[in-house]
Parts: sequence; structure tokens; C-alpha cells
Amino acid sequence: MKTNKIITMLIKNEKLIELWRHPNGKIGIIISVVLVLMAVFAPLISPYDPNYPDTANRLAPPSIKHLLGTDQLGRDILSRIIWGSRISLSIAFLAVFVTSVIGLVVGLVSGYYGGKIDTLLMRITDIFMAFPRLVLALAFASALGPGIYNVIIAISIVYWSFYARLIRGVVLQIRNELYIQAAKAVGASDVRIMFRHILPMVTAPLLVQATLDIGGTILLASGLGFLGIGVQPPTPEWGVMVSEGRRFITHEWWVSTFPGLFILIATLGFNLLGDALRDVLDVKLKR
Amino acid sequence: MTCLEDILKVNNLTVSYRTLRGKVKAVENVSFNLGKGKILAVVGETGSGKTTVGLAILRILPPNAVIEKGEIWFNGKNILDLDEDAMRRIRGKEISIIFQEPKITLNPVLKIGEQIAEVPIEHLGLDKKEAYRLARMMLERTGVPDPDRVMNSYPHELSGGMAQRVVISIAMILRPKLLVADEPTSALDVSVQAQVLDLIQELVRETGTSVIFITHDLSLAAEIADEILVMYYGKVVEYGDVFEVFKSPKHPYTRALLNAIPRIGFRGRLKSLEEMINE
Repeated sequence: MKTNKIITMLIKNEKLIELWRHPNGKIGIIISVVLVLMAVFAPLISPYDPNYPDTANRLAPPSIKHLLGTDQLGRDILSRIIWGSRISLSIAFLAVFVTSVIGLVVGLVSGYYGGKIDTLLMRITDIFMAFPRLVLALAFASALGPGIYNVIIAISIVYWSFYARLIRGVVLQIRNELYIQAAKAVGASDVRIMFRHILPMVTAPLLVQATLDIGGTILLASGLGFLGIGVQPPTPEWGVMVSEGRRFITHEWWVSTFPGLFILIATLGFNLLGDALRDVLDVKLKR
Repeated sequence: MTCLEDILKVNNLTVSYRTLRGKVKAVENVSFNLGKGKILAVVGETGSGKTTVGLAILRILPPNAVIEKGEIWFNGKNILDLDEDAMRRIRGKEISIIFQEPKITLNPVLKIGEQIAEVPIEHLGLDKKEAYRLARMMLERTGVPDPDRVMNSYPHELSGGMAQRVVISIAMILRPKLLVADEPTSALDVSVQAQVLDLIQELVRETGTSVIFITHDLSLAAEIADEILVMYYGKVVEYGDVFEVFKSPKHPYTRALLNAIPRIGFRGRLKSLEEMINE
């Protein structure tokens, strides 16, 4: 319940207004809300079935009938992009959620207990952080095989260590505060101190980092799709669509360009939102 | 001064802190007894080790502290031999502590109600509703006006005196056998100090709680304590009945401390402690 304190605070009080007044926040909110609505209402707003091949209209340029044109099989690109937002956003949200939970537990335990446990956990995160994100994700995604869930697992494996580090840093800062000692002095258990007393202090930086990473995750998932080891065709995933249109880029530019543009917009939108959240919640992530 | 009614018996307690420059002894061979319902004032200047004694009794010393030797007998058990889980069950239930700064003792992001109710929830396994009811009663008992509003407030919305009342509620809600009060009034406005002091005295009389009252204020110690223990550089320099100590202080440091209290009408210069000890 307390975990959601910051979020409920955002919803009902002036923080949301502040976020809206923030120049980046406004753009971020608009983009992310539109994308989420697009994903939720995909069946209602997409003009065509995303997998219906209109063989008479293959590789048709943008027109009134097909606003963003059609691909090599005659599928409507706008519809595929709309349905694709479901794939991209659900991968991003689920992956970020999984990473947050893993990172939260590891970071809390590591920062709170310190000592040998801390050393062990932090050396493990070092190992994961030593690899470039895309390379590590590539390795795990290809080892796990294609499919949405495997993409989520691969991305979570890449990202959790950053969260563990972030949370541990915050925990280290507040572990020695008197109120933590006082909680101990009234007989609160370690689990209670970690999840009741420390967790709420961690929510703001966690929320900011998670929002920023939704953009990064969309990009990473599309990257995997593009390279053919993530989500597989014919699933309308943005990275897959860019990849499929690659062959026609010189003449039928719209096949690749529009999905690519949406990857750009989505990433940008969530990054702006995260950026504004950081300012509004007054979180210092750089350390 | 040992008697069967002693709730706490500290024998030769020695605590050091590990620092970058080696070990520093903070408390050396401190021994004292505390009877049921009695108030012991531990007096000393900053750095004399009085707070370390208090923290050692709850075993919440900072990680770099080492208890070199000694025994702390509480209720017939040497609490230095207990495991962490058994100790946890004693803290807050049988031994409580009140810290100096009420504002930083309370978690800034949790509502007051939750912070008080936490104690009965952890120790008695009460459900939330029962625990909150108990918490509200306790707040009322400590003289907090409008307890319902305070239950729903965050610490920054309270005044210092109000926050200290909340901290006292947390400490006393389970009627502990022993209360460690570490300068509970030093951070408060003078006008509030007396009220909070009265409240603590009233509560401990009601519950029969023994108190270790840590302070640097001799007149305060004289006012509320039954016995007094004066510490200087980690050692006990004076220990005994309040009246005896004030009437005929044995150690030069105690004499010096008593002489350092300015009196109305006294003209001339107050001597520093060093000057007086050297005399």
C-alpha cells in the first residue's frame, strides 16, 4: 500500500500539475498517454486487420485508403503500428516491472545488511554491468530462443543490476538515519524495516529510473526484433517491421520509416516524461 | 546497593569503537543497578559515554562498536548472551528508548498512526484496527490534542513538543519495564520541556517503569532522579543517592560540575572544569 504512496500522491496533488507545467513533462505525458491509449484500444482504432494481406495493394504508398501505406504483403502499416504498440509497450512495462522488483529486493538486502552479503551481490551486479546492454541482451535472447516472454526475460537480465545499484545507493544513504535506528529500537524486524521504513524512500528514484528505462527498453526490444532474435514475424512488432522493410527502403521508404518513427517517438516520450519526473520529484540519480 | 527488586544490573560494561586510528574506549567498567520503578540519572558532558551505555542496553550500538566485556542483566537474563531474535522481542516491549531529537526519530514518510501502531502489531500480533485503536488511546493519554488528526499526519506537520509526545507514545505503549530516555527534552523549547518531563514522570509512575535518564543537566537530574551516576571520559566517577551526591560530592569532577552551575546573584568569573579539577 505504502509502495504506491508516491504514485497516489502524483495522482491527487500538485505534483501532477507541476509535471504538466514542466516543458518536457507535457510532451512526455501526451506522447505516453497517446501510446498507452493506442495500445489499449488497438482493436477499435486500427482501420484494418494487421495481418490481413490486401494482395491487390502491395507496397502501396501512403494514401487516403492506407494512411501510412502497405508493406510487401499488402498489410496496412498504420494498423500494424497500432497493434505493434501493444507488443512494444507490454514488453517494456513487463520488463521494467520485473527488473524493478529484482533490483529492489537485491538493492534493499545489499544496502541494508552490508558486509559480506553486500560484497557478494555487488560483485554479481558488476559482472552483469561489465557487458554492453545490447550484447548481453542478444546473447540471452538467442540462448532463450524467440518469443515475447523470452525477450522480457533477456531484457530483465540486462537491466536488473542497474536497479540493484540505484536502490542500494539510496538505502546506504538512509540506513544510518536515526529513524531507522529508532525502528530497530522498538523491535521492528529487518523485513519490516526494509519494506515499511526504507521502501517508501526508494519509490521516487525507482519511479524515475523505471520511466526513463521504458524508453530504453522499447528501443532494446525493437533492436532484438530487428536482428531477428526477438519477437518473430508476422507479429506486428516495430523492430520486426523496420527489418522487413529494409529491402525496399530505396523505393518504398514508408515500410521501414513509419515504424522506425514510432520507436523514436515512444522512446523520446518516455525519456522526456522520466526527465520531468526527476525534476518534479527532486531526485538526484547521478552519483 | 543490590537488591532482589533490581530490574537491571550492569556489571563492568566496557565498550569500544573501532576507528581508523585504532580502538577508542567509550565506556569503561561501568556498573550500576536499577530498582523497579526507580529513576537513575546518568549525567556527563558530551562524549562521556552516557549515550553509549543507553544504546548498549538495547543492543543497538553502531556497527563499529564492540562490547569488550561486562554483563547486562535484565529481568534475570544477561541480554548480551541473547540472540538477535530474542533481543528484538525485548526492544520496544520490555525496554524502550526515547531519543533526543523527536523530529528525526520519526520516519518522515510514514503517518504517525502507523508508526505507533507498528509496535503492538510487531509485538502482540494485533490486527491493524486494534493496534490503531490502542495507538489513538496512547496519544490521548500523552495529552495530544486532536489525536485523530495527529494519527493522520506526517512528522513534519507536528511541532517539536508534539513530535516528542508521539515518540513517548511509541516508547510507552506496551508499558515497558525499562525506559532509556536519552536527553528527551534537550531539543525542545524551554516552555515545552517541563510539560514533556512531567508527562514522562507521570507515565512511568503509572506503569512502574524504571528509567535511565540520560542528561547533561544536573538540576534536571536532581529534580527527577532517585539515584545519580556521573560519567567522565567513559568512567563512573560518582554513583549514589541523589541527595547524598548533591550534599557531599566525593569526586572533584562532580564538585566541579556542581560549581559550574551559575547562580543568580553570583558575581565574578565561573571557572572552567579543568581549572577547578587542578585546584
